[in-house]
Amino acid sequence: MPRLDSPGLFSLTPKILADFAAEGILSVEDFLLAHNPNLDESRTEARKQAVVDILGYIDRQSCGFRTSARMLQEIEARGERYLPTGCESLDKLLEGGLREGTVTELVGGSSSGKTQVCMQVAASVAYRCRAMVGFVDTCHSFSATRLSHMLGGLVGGRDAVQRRVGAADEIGDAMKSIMHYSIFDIFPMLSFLNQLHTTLSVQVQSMEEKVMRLLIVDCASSVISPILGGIPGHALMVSMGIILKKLALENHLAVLHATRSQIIQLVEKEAILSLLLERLGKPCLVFACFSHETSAAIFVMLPL
Amino acid sequence: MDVLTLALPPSQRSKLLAAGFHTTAALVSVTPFQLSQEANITLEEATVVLKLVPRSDIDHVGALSLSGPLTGSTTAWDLLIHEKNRRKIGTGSTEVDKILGGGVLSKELTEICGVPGVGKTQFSMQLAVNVQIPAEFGGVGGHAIYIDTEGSFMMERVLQITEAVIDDLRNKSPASAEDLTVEDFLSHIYLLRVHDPVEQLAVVNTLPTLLDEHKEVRLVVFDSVTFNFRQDFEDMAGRTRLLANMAQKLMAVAENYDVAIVLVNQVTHKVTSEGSRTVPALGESWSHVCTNRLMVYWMDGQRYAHLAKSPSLPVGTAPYVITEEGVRDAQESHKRPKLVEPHG
Repeated sequence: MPRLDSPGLFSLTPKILADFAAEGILSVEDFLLAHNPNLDESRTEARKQAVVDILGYIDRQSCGFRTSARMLQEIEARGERYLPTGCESLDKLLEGGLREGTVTELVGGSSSGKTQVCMQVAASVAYRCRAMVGFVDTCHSFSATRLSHMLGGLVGGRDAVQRRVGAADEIGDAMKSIMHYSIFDIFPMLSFLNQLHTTLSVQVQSMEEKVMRLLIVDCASSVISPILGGIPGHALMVSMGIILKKLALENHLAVLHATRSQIIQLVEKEAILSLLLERLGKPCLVFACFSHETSAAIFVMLPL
Repeated sequence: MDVLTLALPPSQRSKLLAAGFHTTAALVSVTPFQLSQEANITLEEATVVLKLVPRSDIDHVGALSLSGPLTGSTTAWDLLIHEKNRRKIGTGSTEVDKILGGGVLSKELTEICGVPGVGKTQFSMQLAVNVQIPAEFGGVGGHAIYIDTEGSFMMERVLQITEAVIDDLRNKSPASAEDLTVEDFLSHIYLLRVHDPVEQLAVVNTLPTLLDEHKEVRLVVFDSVTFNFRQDFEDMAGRTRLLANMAQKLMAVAENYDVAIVLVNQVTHKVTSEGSRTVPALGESWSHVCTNRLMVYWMDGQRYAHLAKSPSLPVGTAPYVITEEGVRDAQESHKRPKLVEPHG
């Protein structure tokens, strides 16, 4: 909530602002908490006008009520697509793929295949959807060589790359549209996500340029676990969840973030992190585990 | 965005909140002087705070490029070219190098873990010498920082290994190897002795300064990263947080200074319903930290190295031996690395 002097309301003269400040009201939030309509009658005209203006400003800021029908129309108008993950069984599990406007969490233990899935999804979206992909790497597990192999597979295999003219260019193009960011700390991460949000919100789309459709964060828990334990730690984690959701909803991105799971006492308890992030209302939680016996990665989608 | 998300000390943050600045949007249009007056902080502090506030950089109305304002981005294509040109540090055994994809890579964290006596310190010492092999011989030609927490660094052994490496290079090409001396090699290994967890964290925090002073360092070896964290920790959650913090700092160092970081880890026994298994120490959370994990173990009187985790290479196993000269290939050499599960 901004301070009272930010909206630039004319009736909030310095004298009125000083009056408010004397009562401890410095921001719009303080005003809402402290404002008592019953006392208004005894105030001066200037003060009553200021109160009316502030309430009007608050009304303008909020979206107002919308019906479900209107929301459904808006969703259809946005035309959010399903982005292919590059693996058919995973697409089937997700009933189409990663949906724009949603945040998907991929949880898994060590060496279960999380980074491989992230790289595969990046390759698939960059190649098939001709879109820009943002890959935020917090744990140094991104391998461009491996990504190029995956793209080779999507193009048609090694033979196809050699036979088909232009296949190598296609791989090059796809790789050039995957932007890789190395971030190891929570504050640079928050700052980056905010900057991305601002940049994407203001960006004017031109026909030739590729649009960012997918943001991958691998892995979110490595920047959060060092700080989780103090009071600001939890709040920072929640802030990160909020900004990821904002990026998905307002910028129409599909956001995929990987989290580590810690198996405590061999029971179904997942990491505290994933549970807490879950409370922010993810539509989809995919759990990955690696089975040593069958040497296969198993993906389980948990209904939410 | 909340003011909470700015990296500020708690006292400054509470002063800003008390003055009514709850969001960064409120800070965008404020001058440092105004801020210092209203929030009751010094002018220098106000300037610092305002520098932290993210602002959107718009070149001109309508045109924005994603890679411009968002610093620190590279495309996957650029990374691929960089990866192809990366130099690898050989381990001394060609078979082990093969399963590692040529050797220990820079900008990556490689973990070596195994039971006591299997050769982890030997590997570390060999790598500290091998990193100095000049570029003409296919090496990296860099210096090494060796952080010793257990006191297992043996000067006489490193001397032996260095002499053997120089002999090998002289046999390959006597002309280029003429200038190589044992003194040079030994003087380029910077040894740090660490005695407790606090010292270890301090070393990790000061690594950037150290690397700024010694720009030729291409390898940092931590032997071992576990020792100081295995005792005297009542609060396991606190230990995990400290380790996670240390890990993130090490990753940042590897990325920014283009060094290879080798972490030596110990093993511990995990008791399950089926029996007990040998697992790397420091828990599941530490398993996520390393980029590559090399598990070394004994089987039938032969030492094996098994690549258990890698972002781009398949799982593989290779035998090796420790001789007077250091880490070398096993005599009954297997032509291809075998896929064998590690013996528990």
